[in-house]
Amino acid sequence: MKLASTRHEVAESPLELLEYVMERGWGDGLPVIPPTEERVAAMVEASGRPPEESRGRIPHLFGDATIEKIAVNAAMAGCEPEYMPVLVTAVDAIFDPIYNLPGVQGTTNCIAQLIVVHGPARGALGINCRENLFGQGWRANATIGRAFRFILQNIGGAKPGDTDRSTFGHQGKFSSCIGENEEASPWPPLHVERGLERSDSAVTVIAVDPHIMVNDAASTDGEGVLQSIASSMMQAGSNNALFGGEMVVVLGPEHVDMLVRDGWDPPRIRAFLYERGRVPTFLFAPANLERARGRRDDLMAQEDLQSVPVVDDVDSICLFVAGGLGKHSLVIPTFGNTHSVTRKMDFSFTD
Amino acid sequence: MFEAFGRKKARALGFAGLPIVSIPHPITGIPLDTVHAHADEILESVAESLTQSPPPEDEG
Repeated sequence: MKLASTRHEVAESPLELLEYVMERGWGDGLPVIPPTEERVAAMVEASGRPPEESRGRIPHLFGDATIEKIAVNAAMAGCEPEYMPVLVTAVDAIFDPIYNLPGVQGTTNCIAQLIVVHGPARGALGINCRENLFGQGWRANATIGRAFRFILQNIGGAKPGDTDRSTFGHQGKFSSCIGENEEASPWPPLHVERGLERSDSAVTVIAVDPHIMVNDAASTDGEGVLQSIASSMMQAGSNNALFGGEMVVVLGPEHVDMLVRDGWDPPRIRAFLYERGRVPTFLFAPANLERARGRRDDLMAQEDLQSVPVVDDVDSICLFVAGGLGKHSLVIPTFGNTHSVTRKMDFSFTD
Repeated sequence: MFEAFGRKKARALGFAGLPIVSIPHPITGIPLDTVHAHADEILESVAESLTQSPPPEDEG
């Protein structure tokens, strides 16, 4: 296989490799795996695509996201070759204009790119969908998310403190990749809601703000749980309150059990959260409310505005099930000026 | 704050000599008359940038 990337001679010492990578702005501060020719070739081969094939030019600096360059970053992050289809599909997804990649790459906001994997790929690749799925301990979750950040940083040119101007950053910028816990719910998984088959493997990419955990171990019915989630969506200072867009709600399996028992389904849940999650206008700083009204067509025309919906419309609540036992769910605000994108993986996996 | 970023982006798009006129950060959360003052300060520079020939490295 002919690879075009520049070769670098680096000492075998892990510390020297880390220093070499950090001096050139290619790393994230943690040790990396050497992207040797052999390792990169294995990654390219596992993608099923030729190394020179371009998937697009990633802003800010419009580096060419060839299969080879994706493979180099995947190797450096510690990925197994079979993770490549997830990364290639995620790269394809962020070029959808509704994602607003130029906006999320350089903003002062605290944005991470969350990858959610659906379908048989989760089992085949060992992607954790259950306990501690956002945390440490699973190689696929850790390295796919890390590789995606490397791709945005090294191919796209979003260098922290330089062309990536985030005020605080985001823990998820080290890595943010999870699986949907499709087995914990009787409802169709997100990729099926969005028109794919259950047997398809798919990737959803979302530009997320920091997470808000919802702790409701006291409610004994589904409505109580939803009220706790709705009240966690009501932040007058959030991007969603200011700009609308899409918000993510991750339901924990124990909350799902209560909701299913009480006859709730995703359309009813979204409708409830859309209405109950509105932010009363008195919670806004007056100037910030005017800013929201000036930016949102849905608010501009309303003279006697009493509350502000935190998403564009009822379908802009991205709802799915994930996590392990415990009476918890998550509300994940987003960049606001963005919508998640789901893409089918052009690859077959056997769970 | 964004000037170096802007220069890198211009270079990436093939306009290394793109004239860039800057005003101090921030431009949000400041009084409207301060915004107008910043605009007045850069008006001539913007007009010059728009009417001058591009630097030699950008020609063609």
